[in-house]
Amino acid sequence: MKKEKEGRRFSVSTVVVVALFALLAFLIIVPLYALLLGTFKGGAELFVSGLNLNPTWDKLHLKAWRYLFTGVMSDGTSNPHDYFIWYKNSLFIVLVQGGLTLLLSSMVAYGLSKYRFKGQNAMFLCVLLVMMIPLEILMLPMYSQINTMGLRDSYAGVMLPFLVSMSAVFFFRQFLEGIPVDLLDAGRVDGCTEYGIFFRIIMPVMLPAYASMAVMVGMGAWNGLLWPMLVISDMKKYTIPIGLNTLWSPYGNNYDLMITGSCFAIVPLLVLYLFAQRFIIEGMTAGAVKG
Amino acid sequence: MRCPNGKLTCRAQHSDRKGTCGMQTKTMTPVTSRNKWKKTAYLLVISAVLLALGLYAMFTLGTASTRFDTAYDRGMDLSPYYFAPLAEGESYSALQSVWLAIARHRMIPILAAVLVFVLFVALNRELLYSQNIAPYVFVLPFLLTFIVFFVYPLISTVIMSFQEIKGSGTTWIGLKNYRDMFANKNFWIAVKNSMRYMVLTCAILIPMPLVLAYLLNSKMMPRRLAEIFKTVSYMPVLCSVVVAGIIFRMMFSELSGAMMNQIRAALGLAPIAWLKGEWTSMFAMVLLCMWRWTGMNILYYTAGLKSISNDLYEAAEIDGANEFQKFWNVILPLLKPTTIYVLTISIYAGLSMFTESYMIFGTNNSPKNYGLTIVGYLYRYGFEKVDKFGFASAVGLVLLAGAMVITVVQLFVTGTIGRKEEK
Repeated sequence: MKKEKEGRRFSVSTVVVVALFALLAFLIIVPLYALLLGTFKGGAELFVSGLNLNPTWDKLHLKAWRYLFTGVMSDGTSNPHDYFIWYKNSLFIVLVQGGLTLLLSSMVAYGLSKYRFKGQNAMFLCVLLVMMIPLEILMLPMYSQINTMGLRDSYAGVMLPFLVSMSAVFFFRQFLEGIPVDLLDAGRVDGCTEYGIFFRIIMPVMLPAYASMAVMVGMGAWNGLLWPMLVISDMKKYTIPIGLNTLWSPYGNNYDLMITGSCFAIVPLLVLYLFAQRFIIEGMTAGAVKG
Repeated sequence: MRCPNGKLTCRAQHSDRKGTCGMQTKTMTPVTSRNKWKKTAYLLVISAVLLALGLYAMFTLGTASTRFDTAYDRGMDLSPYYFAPLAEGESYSALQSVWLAIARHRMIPILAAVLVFVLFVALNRELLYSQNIAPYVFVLPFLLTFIVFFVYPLISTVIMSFQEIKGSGTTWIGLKNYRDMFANKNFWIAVKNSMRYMVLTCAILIPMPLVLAYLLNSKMMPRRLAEIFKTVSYMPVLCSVVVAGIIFRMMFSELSGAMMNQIRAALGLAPIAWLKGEWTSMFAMVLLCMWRWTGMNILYYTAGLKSISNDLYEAAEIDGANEFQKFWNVILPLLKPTTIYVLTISIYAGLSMFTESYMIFGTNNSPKNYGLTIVGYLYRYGFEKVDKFGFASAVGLVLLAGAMVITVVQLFVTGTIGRKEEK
C-alpha cells in the first residue's frame, strides 16, 4: 500500500520538473566548481589551457593555495603579496559602512514614517527618485564632489555618499509602517524622549529588518568595484575587488593569486549567507511583493 | 495613563519632581532650559569658526581642488593656489603650513565643526525635545546626503556639460559637447550595445524565472528539493561581479582548452575567439548576467507567488482549469506588480551595465568596442581621457534623461502611474 502511494506521488511531471531543476542547478554550479578546481591546478596550467572541467586528478596540487597564505611561490621563492591587506581593508569598509548605513538609514526611515511634518511627501519622493537613478550615472558629479571635499584616496570618500542608502530607507519605512503608533505613544506617556523612543523602543523591534539589510549592505560594500576604484588610488588602500582586478595581465604571472583570491573572497559572504539565509531573502524580495 | 492636561502627545516631563507638565509649546518651555544653552554657547562659536575655515578652503579652491591635492601630496609648487612662489631653499612659515594642511584636509575642520555642534546639542538636549523638531533631526542625514551628493553635483554637472574643462582653465562652449557626442560614432555603438544588452536580459530574465518559479512552487516539485535548489541558485548572487567576471573571462578564453571551446569541440566545431566577435562577446555578457540573476529573479517571483491566496487556485481548480490555464489566467495577472518591479530593475541594470563588460574584457577597451556600454563611454571620457570632463558630463546627463524617459514610459505602459484606481 505504502509503496503504491509513493509511486503515485512521483508522477511523470514531477520527474520532468525535478530533472529540469537538477540540470539548472548543475549549470549554476559549473562555473564555481571550475574555479575551485582551477585553484588546485595552479596558474601556470590555467594560463596554458584556460578554465575547464578536466579533472586531471594526478596533477592537482596545493601550491596556489600555499602562495595565497604564505607568499611562497611554487618555485620556492618568496614573493609577498597584498591580498590580506585588501582583505582587511574590505572588512573595515564592510563593518564601518554597514553599521553606519543601518543606523542612519533607519533613523531617516523612522522620521519619514512615524511623523507628520512639512515637506515629508516631497522628501519621500526624493528618496524614491534617488533610488531609481543608477549610481553609475551619478559617479562623475559625485566624484568631483569628493574631490572638492578633499576626500580622494580615503575611505571616508568611499563610504560617505552611501551612508544613507535609499533602498535601505525604503525597506525600513515599509517595515515601520507595520509598527503601531500606540507603541510610540506608550513610550511618550512613560516619559521617553523622542530620541529615546527610537533607540529604546524602535531599534529592538526592528532587529529582523536590520539583519536582512545588514546582509544586503554588507554584500554591496564587499563587492563594490566601480566607486572604490575611482576614489582609491593608493595600492595599500585597495579593497578586494580592486585588488583582484589589478592581478589580471596578459602574461598570466599572477593567476595563482587571482584564482585562489577570488575563491577565498567568496568565503565571508558564504558564511554570512548560511547564518542569515532567511533574512537575506526577506530583504532582497521586500520591494518586489508590494510593487 | 494620560498627562494632566489630557494630551497623549504632550511629551511631558512627568519625571519632573516639581510636577509641572512642560507642554510642547514654546511659551510653556521651562525658563531654566530656555536659558541653559547660553552657558555652552561658546561651543556654537567654535563650531562656526571650524565650519567657516573648512568651507573657505573648499570654495577658494573650487574646481582647482584636485590639482591642489595632487600638488600638495607630491610636494609640488603650491603658488598657483596659495601664497607667493617660494624662493630657492625657502620654506613656508609655520602659519602658512598650517593653512596648507587645513586646505588639503578641508573635510576635517568641517567634520570637527559637526562634532562640536553635536556635542552642543547633546548638552542642550531639551532644545530638540519638541515633537515638531524631532522629525527634522531624524531626516537630517538624508537631507545632507541628498544635497551634498545628489543635488549639488547634479547642478554642477549641468553647468559643466556646457563647458570645456582643461587643466589650464574652463571655457563656456555652449552646446558643443552635446553636438560632439551625437556626432560621435562610438557613442552610438555604446548606445546600441547597452540597448541590445538590456533587451536581451529583459527578454530572458523575466519569462524564464517566472515559469521556473511557478514550477518550483507547484505541487510537482518536492518541497525539500525546492529549498535546496533555492540555496544553490543563490550562490552566484553572493559572488561579486569581479569574481564572476574572472571565471567567465577564463571560461570564454580563446584557448582551445577553455571550457566554452571544449563544448564547441564536443559538438565537432573549431575553437573560436569568443571575446573578439560581436555576438559571441554579447553572449558571454548575457550569460554572465543570466548566471548571476536567474536565482535572484526566481526568488522575487517566489515571494510574489506566496502573496497569492490559495483560495484562488482552488476556485480555478473547481472551475476546471488545467495547469496552463491556472498559470495564464490566474497567476500571471496577479504577479503583475512583481513583474513590473523586476522589469524596472532589469531595465536599469541593463542600461547602466559596466562592470560586467569591464571584467569580462579585463579593461574598458574591448576589441572593436564590442563591449563598450554607455557607462563605459562615460567612464572613458570622464576618467581615462584627460580634459574631457565637460564632455563626459554631457554624456552622463543624456544617460540620466534617457533612463528617466524609459522608466516613465514603462510605468505608463504597465499602468503603474496614470491609472489612479489601482493604488
